[in-house]
Amino acid sequence: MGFGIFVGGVPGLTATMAVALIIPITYYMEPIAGLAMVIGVSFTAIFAGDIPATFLRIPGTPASGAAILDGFELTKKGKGGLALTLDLMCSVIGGLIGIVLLILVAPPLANFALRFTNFEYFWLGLFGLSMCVIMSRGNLINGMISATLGLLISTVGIDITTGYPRFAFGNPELMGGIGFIPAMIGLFGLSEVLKRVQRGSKALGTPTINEKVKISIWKALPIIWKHKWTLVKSAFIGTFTGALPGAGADIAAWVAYGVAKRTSRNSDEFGTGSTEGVVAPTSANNAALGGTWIPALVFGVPGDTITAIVLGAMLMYGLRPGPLIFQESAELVTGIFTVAIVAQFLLILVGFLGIKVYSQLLKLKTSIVLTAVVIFSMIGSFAIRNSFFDVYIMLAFGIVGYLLEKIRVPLAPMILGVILGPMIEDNLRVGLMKTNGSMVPFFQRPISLTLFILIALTLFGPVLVKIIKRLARRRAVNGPESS
Amino acid sequence: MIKNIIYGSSLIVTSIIVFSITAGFPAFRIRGQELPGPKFFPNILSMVILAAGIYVIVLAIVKEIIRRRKAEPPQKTPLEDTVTKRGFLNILAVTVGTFLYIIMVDITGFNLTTVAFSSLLMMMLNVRWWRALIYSVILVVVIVLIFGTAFRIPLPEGSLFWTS
Repeated sequence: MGFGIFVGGVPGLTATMAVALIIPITYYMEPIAGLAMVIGVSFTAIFAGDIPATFLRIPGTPASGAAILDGFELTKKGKGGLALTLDLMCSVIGGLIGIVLLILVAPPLANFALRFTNFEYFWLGLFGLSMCVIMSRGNLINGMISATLGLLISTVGIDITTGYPRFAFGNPELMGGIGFIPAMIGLFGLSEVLKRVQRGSKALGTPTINEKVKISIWKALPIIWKHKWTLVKSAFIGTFTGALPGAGADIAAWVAYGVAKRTSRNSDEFGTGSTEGVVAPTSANNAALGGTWIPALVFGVPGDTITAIVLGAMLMYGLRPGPLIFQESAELVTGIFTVAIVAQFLLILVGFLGIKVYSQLLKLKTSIVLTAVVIFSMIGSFAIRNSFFDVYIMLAFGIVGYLLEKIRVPLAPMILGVILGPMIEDNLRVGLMKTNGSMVPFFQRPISLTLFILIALTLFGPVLVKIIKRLARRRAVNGPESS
Repeated sequence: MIKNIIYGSSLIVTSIIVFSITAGFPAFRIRGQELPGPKFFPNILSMVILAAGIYVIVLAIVKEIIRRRKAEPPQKTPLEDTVTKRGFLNILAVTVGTFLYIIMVDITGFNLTTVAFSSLLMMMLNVRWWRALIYSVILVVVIVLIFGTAFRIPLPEGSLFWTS
């Protein structure tokens, strides 16, 4: 678990990488011991990605992108310790809820997930993107522009259906597409460095964080209690989203954040340091890990890249994931559930240590930390594909992110567009091929229609509410005059 | 207003560029039937971006007309958004420095280039030279241990130091 904290906390090193690196070490272990290591690493890496996201605005893993929105704002207010304590507790509770749901509802939930076809996945992707509307504080249009630009960036590379290289200009690196991890590091990390240095060097002589980071579970518990329904709701959303093959913790965190903002009484506070805005994505991303095991165990279909690697490992151990695993290896399945639950409690201790170590490092002067951020951003981007092209990508996105923030264009929808673009495009095109170009079947299936209605409400709901309120006010004013 | 007009124009130009590139993409036909091909999705997105660009420019102009009619003063840039002269140099140091670093690292290798770049950047950000050097060396050692040793990610050695 210490390995997971370390990897997750370094931008550019992902939870998937951590799991992939730990698998060879587990080769000679008993299957349950090997799976215990994998489970421990994946849960801690997903949490650890929230630490640099909260302190430095650089997500350690893609699933931590949503944690920036309010976590970093709390750090700016001197409450980074509180943000991470909430994060840690919500990760633990969210993870526990995800595992309990895994144990209780794995087969029926997996059956429901199997009803998702191209049409449903298309709308699910758009639903995730429509959350960007909610995340764009006060500026719907800029959020939609940012998301659309992200979708456009995702089209760079080989077209998966026809094999045609799009926007590659003969460059073999571009044919592989724009990696979203270097893009994310640039958009959030490098652009933040540029923002901090733009006011000159005098302000950079102070420590990066001024607060004495205190981890007080007693202070966090009342806040968690206050937002208990948000936590539970987000954990359910996370588990369900994780159960959809290909969705994963990244999407789960954003969807949960968007839903929490949409349904909160204090939605205006989201993005300014709202504790509710920390609770939602952090509980969802850990809960999603439990969800990803549902299709993996029940059908042998991975829920995300981490479970894809784990399934390979299970085959290596001589196990057969799928419907029969519950009969043939019932003890193993029980062991997996037990390890997952124990890992959540151990996460409290390991997470606590990780936060403390990180906060000590951030007592260094801002100028030193920012330089280290630049170096780690470069090396982290390089490490994904051993390619300096990704470092150029990181640099380009850093400059673009800096300029976009100058004109108040939010960055989160853009990275969400890059991540969800392939899923949305592929499912749209395959769906249209099945229907001979007709969009009608996209609205005919019950789940598709439900998702479409949710998207419409998300986008136009606030506007409709304003119009209704205005009409109601006019009626109240005109009512006595007309009688 | 100028910022928004530049922003809107950039969106329109982006859209036009995308349309012109996708015009060269082949159609996707199976058994004589045209199906959504490689240009389908980029073209939809370009139309959205074009519409958004026009909207941004029109909105900026309308807001400016309303502001002038009401004789309101122009919006001032918030203090935290202003770029000082030194700040502009810092931005150049980070961006141009990163670009040069990528070029140099292939020649002089990871260790030397990173120590040099890191020290120079820290000195630009007002860290004393000897502190910058010490922290840079520590940083390189940590990175080599993490990425090079633990994760076995090959870090560039640099063509200057190739022995074969």
